[in-house]
Amino acid sequence: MSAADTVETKAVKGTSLWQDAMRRLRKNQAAIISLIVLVIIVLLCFLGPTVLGLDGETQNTANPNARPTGEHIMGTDKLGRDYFARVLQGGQMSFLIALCATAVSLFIGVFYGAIAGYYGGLTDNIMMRIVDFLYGVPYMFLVILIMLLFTDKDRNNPIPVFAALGAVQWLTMARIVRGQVLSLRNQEFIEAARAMGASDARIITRHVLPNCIGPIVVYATLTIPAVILLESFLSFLGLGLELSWGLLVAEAIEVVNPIRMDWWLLVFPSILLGLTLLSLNFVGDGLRDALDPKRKRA
Amino acid sequence: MVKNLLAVGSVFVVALLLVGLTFSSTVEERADYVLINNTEPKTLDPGLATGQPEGRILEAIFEGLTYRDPETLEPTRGAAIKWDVLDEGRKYVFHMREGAKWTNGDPVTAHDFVYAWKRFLAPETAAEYAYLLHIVRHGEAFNTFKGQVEALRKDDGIIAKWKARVDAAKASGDRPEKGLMEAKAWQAFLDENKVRDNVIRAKDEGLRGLLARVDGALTEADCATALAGLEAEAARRDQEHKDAVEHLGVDEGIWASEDGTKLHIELKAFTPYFLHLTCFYPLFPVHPPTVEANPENWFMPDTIVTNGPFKMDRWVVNQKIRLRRNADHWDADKVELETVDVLAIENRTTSLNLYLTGEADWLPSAYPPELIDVLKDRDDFYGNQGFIVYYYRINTTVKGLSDKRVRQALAISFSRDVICNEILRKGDRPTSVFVPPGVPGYEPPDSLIDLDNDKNNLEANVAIANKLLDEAGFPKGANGLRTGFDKIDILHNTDEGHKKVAEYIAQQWEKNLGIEAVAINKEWQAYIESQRKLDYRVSRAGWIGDYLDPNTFLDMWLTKGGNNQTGWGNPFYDQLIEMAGDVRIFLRDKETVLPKLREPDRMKGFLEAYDAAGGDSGRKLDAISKIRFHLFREAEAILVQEEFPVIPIYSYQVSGLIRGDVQGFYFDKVKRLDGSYGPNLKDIHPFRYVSTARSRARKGK
Amino acid sequence: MFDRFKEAPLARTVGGLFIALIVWVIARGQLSLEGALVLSLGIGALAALFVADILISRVIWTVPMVAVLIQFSIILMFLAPGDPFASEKNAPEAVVQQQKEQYGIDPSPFTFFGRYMKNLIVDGYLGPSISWRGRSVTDLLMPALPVSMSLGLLALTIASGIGLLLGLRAGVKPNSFTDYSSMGLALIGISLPNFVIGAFLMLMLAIWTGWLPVAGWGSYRHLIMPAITLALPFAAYIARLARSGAVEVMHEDYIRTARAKGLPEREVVGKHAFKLSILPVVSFLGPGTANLMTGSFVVEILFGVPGMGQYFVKGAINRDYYVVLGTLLIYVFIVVTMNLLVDLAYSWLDPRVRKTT
Repeated sequence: MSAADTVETKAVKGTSLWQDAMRRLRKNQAAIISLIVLVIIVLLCFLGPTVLGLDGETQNTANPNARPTGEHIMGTDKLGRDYFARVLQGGQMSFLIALCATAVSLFIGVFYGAIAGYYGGLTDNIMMRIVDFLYGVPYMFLVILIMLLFTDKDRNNPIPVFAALGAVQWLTMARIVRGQVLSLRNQEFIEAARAMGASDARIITRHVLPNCIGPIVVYATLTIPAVILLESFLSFLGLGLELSWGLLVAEAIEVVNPIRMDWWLLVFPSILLGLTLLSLNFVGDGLRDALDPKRKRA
Repeated sequence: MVKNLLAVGSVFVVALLLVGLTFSSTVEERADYVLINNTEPKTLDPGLATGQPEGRILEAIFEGLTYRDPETLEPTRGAAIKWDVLDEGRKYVFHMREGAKWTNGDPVTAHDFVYAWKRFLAPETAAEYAYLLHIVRHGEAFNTFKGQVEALRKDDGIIAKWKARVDAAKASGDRPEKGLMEAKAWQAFLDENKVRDNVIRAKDEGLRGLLARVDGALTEADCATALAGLEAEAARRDQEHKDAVEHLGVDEGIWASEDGTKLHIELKAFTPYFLHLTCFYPLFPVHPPTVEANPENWFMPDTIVTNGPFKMDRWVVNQKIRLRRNADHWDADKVELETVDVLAIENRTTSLNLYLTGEADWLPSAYPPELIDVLKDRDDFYGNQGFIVYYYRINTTVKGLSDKRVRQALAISFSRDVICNEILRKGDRPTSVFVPPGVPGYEPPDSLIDLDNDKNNLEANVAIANKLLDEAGFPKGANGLRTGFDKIDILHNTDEGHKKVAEYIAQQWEKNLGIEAVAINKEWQAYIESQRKLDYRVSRAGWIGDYLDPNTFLDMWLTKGGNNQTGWGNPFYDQLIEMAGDVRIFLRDKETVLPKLREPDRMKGFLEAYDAAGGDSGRKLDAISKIRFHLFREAEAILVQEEFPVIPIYSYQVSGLIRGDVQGFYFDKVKRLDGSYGPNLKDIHPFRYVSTARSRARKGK
Repeated sequence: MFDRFKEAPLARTVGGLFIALIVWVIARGQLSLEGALVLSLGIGALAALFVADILISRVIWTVPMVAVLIQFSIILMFLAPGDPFASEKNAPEAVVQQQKEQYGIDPSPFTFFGRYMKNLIVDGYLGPSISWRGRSVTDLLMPALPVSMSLGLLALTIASGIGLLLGLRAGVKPNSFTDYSSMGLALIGISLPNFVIGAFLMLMLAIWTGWLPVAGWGSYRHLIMPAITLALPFAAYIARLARSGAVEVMHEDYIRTARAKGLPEREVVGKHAFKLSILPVVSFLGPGTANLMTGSFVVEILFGVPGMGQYFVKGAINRDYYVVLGTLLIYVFIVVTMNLLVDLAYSWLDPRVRKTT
């Protein structure tokens, strides 16, 4: 995704810069509020079911598709399960998938970009041409093709989903990291490390990457919502997980129509999903504004 | 700046103009009748089509020897005006209708049918439904024997491989006691090279005996017998294929009188459902010159030639097919609809919304299943029992499940009532047998599955089941689980309903029997493949009957049959199905078969009726039908009283929404020939005589 | 006049040949053998001599990578369980064998690749569709292509309009309420799955009010809901880029000068900021097309639009190898072309870039 294309390829260095960035971030009220909202939603999803003693498994066929009441504040689903609990569990899964997929994309992208940038020359040229080309391949194609590979596995298994999603989300990360590394690699401290006989692998992991942390964090923040959204497409196409926000909303659009308006099945997961994605996007944008050195001129 | 802006703007303007261009064609008026056909038809070649969406269109644009009367669904005079049944039901002569025409003006003749059916059976056509015509003399030989002979005889074929295998066994010092080769190795050879598929229904006694040999060893003589048997089968099949090529379509099996006014059909044996097949789309005629000109895609709108009450007007792929009344059809006066739109919409919510906003008149089954609760109370909803069974396959080759007592226990220890009426609630009916109800005259056997005690007294069934498991040698351990029993994975394809049922049954087995079980969900293709490779323990499945006869449900359980996929086989079952296919075999062997039947007395009654019929061919055919049905009943009893390679669960309800102003749509019930009413089992609603408010208004009625 | 060629004869020859190959593959299906040959070689030769370097280097890199992508996709599809002829009713072995032969399905992904490439390069043939019998992939996709394109173009227009408007509004006054509210609105497109937005639109505009038809294709009224649904995520990205661009530009010296001169804000923004802040947006349109297509899968299914997107999904689910590869090829071709056009447009729009090339 090209959302982070505008991240400047200049090095972020020195702690004062971080402090600057944090100061700027605090000025961005939308980002701060988003961060708070996000923390609340994450806590709710992961601690909520236990703390509130919710049960999303017990089926009650006598009380399916019930409207929100005091007992079930988000109503019940078609099997009479407490929908609040289901939504929170779906959130857990969505977050889990997003984090794992982002980790996968980070891993691939950072190393790919670092290698390309560090070695430069022909290696860089070939590697980045491949990235350029893959940008031209609609990633949903690859996701679907990769998902097909795993269709032999049980659909409860989240690993295929995040592996497939992670495998298509690393391109921008690779570009950013490569740009950073390219500008770092001839700087004095790298030269010094090299002179001291440090191996390439050590230089990359110990000296180069830590200095690219800023843009990596920004982009990772923006990858998370993209992955959550992508997973919901898979759910819609019938290739996603068995329980996630994506699946809940994909199922819910079937029961919101003129003859049956079970609005709660759509509205609650949509609100949580929408808030989460919106917050993540605001936080990501905020971080980028804050870390963008160009803004220093302001 | 302004210049740049203008440039950007003009790009968009050009873009929008381009968009506009694609809409230059004038907007079409809504058709008289619009139905949602779920999916884009994969082909409109009657011989190659296999699905209901295709069938709906084909039945409108083509006409077989007979067509279905919309009210009774019985075959009615179509391209044939009358037919004679001769030779104890083994021969039909159809008299072609004069004045039946193809849309290009050519007359529809018996030759067209001969051409269409021969093409349907030709191996090059690779028609999936070709087996339907295996009941015709030479049909099977023409369709499959050539490929089998090749598989047996080619240079690296089965016979060559077997010779090499035997030579290798002779050369090797590692021989089993008393023989040349382990029977297991022989069976592995059979499976690996798909030998059974290629010598199916072998007549060579030596080979038949060896095919059943599972234990012990094969001697050198056995190996020679096998070789001789394979060669004999190859020779016989080769000869029969040659005969078929020489005679089929000319003077045996299927042929036309010189002038094309009569079509002669010879069946291998009396087959009561044959006439019903003549209104089923795979047996529709095709226009030979049209097919010859474009064998692959003659059914495209600009080339297609049809003979039905409607003709194709336009085909916009993935959107709709527009049909128009065929004014030259012999029955055109009774056809009310001028235009019909068949929409290819797959999304169920969208389909329902189209129906609800009045943009469609008929929505067959493709609404979101969650809405059944609300929909079923609507006036425009219809639902009735379908000819479809929902069942679980059991892989009988794995430990534990290979014991029939275990399978019996699994079959009886959950409640079908709960599944149908509490979990799914879509109007399906619990079933204890495999053939869904509705075949006139067929009485299903009793079953070990006890539907009476299904819900309120399940404990009684569970007690029996637990005893069976104890006997089978899987005692309950201290933790309440059966020792020595692996966890059962219940495989199902991705679908909310299947999942719910599988989870319920898994939970019941665990609770009632102490057998751990869990639902496993796979995407369609992977699910199909797992079943085919027997890579599962228990698997959800469904089967739709092709024609109104128990055979369409029972012949799939023949040993190693292509759709069996359970690893189960039973020689007596195979024999019963074979005898039902040709009752004469039973009449010949009845003395040896009768003692093996579960209900010999009942059968004796039918035999007496047959003998009493004497020369009265009507009574004789009636008696043969009864004997035939009883053979099926005996076969089904093996499945549901004893062996349980499958666990029947429920028979489906078929349903849909139809607008109130649509007339000539018989949704609830079908009027049978004897005046009674039965369910419209296959949810078939020909639109030949349908009329709508729109069509009536246009005609001023 | 052949300066360009002389600078890099090898690269230009290869590039020219590749361009000739692309033209050949496209033209082969429409023209006679000779016509296609002459046309492709002619265009190839002209291209080798005259076109911009960027085009030549693009082509040199892209053509082999497309081949690799096809091989890779074939391997993935062959590894996946199932095959195009799988059905719940198991066809006899002989029938399946016959079908496999008929459709040229090899057991090995590598020989299949060879066959596919031979078909493609020699005959310009994308293969037969396996699940939609009697039609070639071209038969299926040709009518769908204009549908998808018109939907995509309209969506692009809507997205650019909404995105630029909201993005610029937000970027001119960063960290203000205007900023937050504009961006909040813009980001809705990537905060909710588009099938939810689409379903909501359908409910509002078609079912409750009856203003628009629920689904289908045929008149401009069918186009509105799918286009809006498709446009919204795209609008969000554009708004984000436009905002960054605007924020950056607002700090440029000449803007400060303009402000200092006392030019009205409207003029500052309209005249100066707009021009530069639109640049990142233009550069996004290339890769953005790929994003647009991702959305189109879902939108086409939801609104029953007979476009190309659903062929890919259905093809993949049915293991209809030829349809999957054909769709992939066409999409890649479109996106690569878009990227190229965007690069050309970019250099034309931005004087800084223009000078260096």
